Amino acid sequence: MVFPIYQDPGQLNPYLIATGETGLIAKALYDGLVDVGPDGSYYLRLARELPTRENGGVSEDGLTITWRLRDDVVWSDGEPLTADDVRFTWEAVTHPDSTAFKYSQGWDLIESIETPDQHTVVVHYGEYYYNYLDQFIGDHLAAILPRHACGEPGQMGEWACNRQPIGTGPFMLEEWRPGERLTLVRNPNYREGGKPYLDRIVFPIVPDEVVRKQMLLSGEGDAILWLNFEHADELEAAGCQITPGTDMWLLRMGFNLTKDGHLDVPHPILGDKLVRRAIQLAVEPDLINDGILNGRGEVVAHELFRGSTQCPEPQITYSEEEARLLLDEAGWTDEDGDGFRECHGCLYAGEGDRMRLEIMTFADPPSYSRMIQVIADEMQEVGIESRTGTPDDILERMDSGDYDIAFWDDGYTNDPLGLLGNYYSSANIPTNNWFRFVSREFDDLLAQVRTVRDPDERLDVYCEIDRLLLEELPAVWLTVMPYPDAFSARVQGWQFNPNDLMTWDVADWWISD
Amino acid sequence: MTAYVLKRVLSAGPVLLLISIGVFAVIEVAPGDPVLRIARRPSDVSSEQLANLRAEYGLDDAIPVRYLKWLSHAATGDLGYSYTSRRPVVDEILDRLPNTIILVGVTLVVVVILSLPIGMVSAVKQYSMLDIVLTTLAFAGQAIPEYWLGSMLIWLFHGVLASHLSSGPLFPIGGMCSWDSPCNLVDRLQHLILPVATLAFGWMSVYTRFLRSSALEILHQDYITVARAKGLPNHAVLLRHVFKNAGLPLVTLLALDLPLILAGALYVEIVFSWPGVGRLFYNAAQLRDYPLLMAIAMMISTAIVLCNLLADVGYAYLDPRVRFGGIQGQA
Repeated sequence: MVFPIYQDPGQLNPYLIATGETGLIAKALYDGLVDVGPDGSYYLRLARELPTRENGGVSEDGLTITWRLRDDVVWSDGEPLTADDVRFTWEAVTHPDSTAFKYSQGWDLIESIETPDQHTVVVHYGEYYYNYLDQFIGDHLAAILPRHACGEPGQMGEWACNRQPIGTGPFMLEEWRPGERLTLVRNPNYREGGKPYLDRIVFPIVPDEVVRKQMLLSGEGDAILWLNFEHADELEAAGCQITPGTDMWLLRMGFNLTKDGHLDVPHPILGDKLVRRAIQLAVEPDLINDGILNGRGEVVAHELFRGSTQCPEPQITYSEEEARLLLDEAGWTDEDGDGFRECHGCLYAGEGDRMRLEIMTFADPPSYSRMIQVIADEMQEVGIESRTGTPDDILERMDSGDYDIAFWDDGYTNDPLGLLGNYYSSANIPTNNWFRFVSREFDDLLAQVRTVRDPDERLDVYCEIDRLLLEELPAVWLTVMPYPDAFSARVQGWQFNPNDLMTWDVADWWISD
Repeated sequence: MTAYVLKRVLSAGPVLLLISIGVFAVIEVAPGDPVLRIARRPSDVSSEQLANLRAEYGLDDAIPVRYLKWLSHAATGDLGYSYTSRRPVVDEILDRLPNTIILVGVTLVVVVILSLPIGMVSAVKQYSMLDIVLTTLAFAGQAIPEYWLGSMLIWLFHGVLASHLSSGPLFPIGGMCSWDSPCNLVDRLQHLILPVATLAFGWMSVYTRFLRSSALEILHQDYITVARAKGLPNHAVLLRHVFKNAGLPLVTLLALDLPLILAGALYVEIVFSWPGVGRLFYNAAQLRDYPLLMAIAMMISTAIVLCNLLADVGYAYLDPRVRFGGIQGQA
């Protein structure tokens, strides 16, 4: 099987680099203890059972979680997987010098990990952590790494296993020709007899998406990760299999609520909640989904829309007329008749200042630029002068607070705690909370959600947060960004999982003649 | 002569030092933060991780301090580690360099071999049908972007012609070798044809136009008329007098293009999935992989300085006025 990818992953330690390529390949090499399946529930990977109160896996106070590992798992070099490898992974990720991604939030809450025997991992939390099942999840990129094949926990950057991975997954690395291709072959020590069905997967590095598409059309390629949705129709017509793509990446316009990042100075235009509400009503997501995303997205107007924390979809009546009235009310009117509004009694701008905003986004994918053009047009319709751009230093400008509106997508797999904490917690300014959104109420609710144990009660708190965000509007949520994947007609056995990368079930794939 | 050569060699050092300062400054001034580039989505990174990464990359120091650190390491041959792959940048470059030398080197040979006769024919048969066709092609070569031409060649020779003429594609779609067969010479050559053709087309247009105009100039010189008048056959005039003299300036052009063998060809490398230095540099720029950027930029700069040095020394050897003028001018 040939699976062309966009770029050389550089290295295959999923904790060090968060590209799709690394994740895609790491998924075939490594495992977590559990993972999230297509229906959003947990299924077992290296764990023998899910820890529950009934099976003694969760202590009375909820602070001690006992994981029991399968006893038949060996690494691809033949060494047995032990509980100590789990502890090693935790040590490395939480080491003070660590430069690792921490995909789930609770790492810092873990006080110690004990390994009473080879296959038992006892995790002691300092405070209750609801998402303990997420802790060693293979979700997307995280994985259990082997102590014997890597290195000192504090020196993750220099580990040998970053480029010569030893894993428990169905495949192992055979050859890596930098910039040219990686070749995986079946792991003879894989725990499930007879699997994987494929003998070999070649990942040639093909930077040009058109060429990747051509490879599928000509039968030389078998799969594409995160296909440009514009190519989906053509490939589908040629008999390729197109997945819907995960529904987790939600496109959003983020507002800078401050002037130049100063928390005590509101943004002259966007500091006013009425203006943000007006923009929300003026920008109709259908125009983006139907006009640019070929209807492959899905209009979603709030943050907590999926997974185990799905809150009610808000009823928003998009209306230019309503938006204009709100802007009038906010003191932004067009008195010189040039079609654009100026401040006449507005809250934070100088009298007579023009209502002018810049919407910026990332240059890749290119459809982003077209989407912000649509947004700018819709804002112009209600009298807001709007410019668009794809500055190279967009992240730096968001960090420093030198922007008006930014446009990108993000999302969560199952539980949004990490996403919410990153983006909206006042403790996270300016890293990730680029809105400079400061809300005591939000911070309190977020602290509450970390400790609530009852699932229903927890959902209530989440939906309270969702409602608060919709009320305050640090961002406007628009539509799901489609990232469909493609398989050639001959790849069989795959199953679509909206919660994971396409190689999540690579052990089950096979090729038909 | 020795003194002149020595002086030129010694002056290359300060030139390289100045270049390194310039390149370092440009990389630093360009917007972008390397630690923010490792994540696909902004919220993937935590502030703690960012701080640790900054410390690990040494980005907490002031720019001049970082430059001096880089320089002192570079002086001992240590060019640092790539931010993204965490491997020594020298290894990264050495992985790609042979591939680029193959691609651009072969192209350069093809360009020289084909440009000489084409340029000469164009000059000798000035304003003929052949000249007009070749001139048109040369202008097309200058005007057509490589990525478009490359894509068209793939479309034609991998897509269209494949289905009509043979059972499989006429030429491979990209890469250096087939995924499923041993990487032998025939396989490699097949993979070279389309990228070399793409790259050579534009390059040749420069060389043929250059040769044509310098040959035309010589064709109208008196000594050519004299050569013809004394009864030399036409081919002897063209080969011995016109070609020899018109071809000489081409050597300069060639010497200046030689460093391109190391620099690679970005668009061709992208379109044809060629794992060369051009793509490595481009990816490093995208990810703000400073050590890798610096190393590649300095490698190319050094090659350019060396080639210029060779050209200067060569000129001095051929033309005494250069070396005496140079020394007297400095005295």
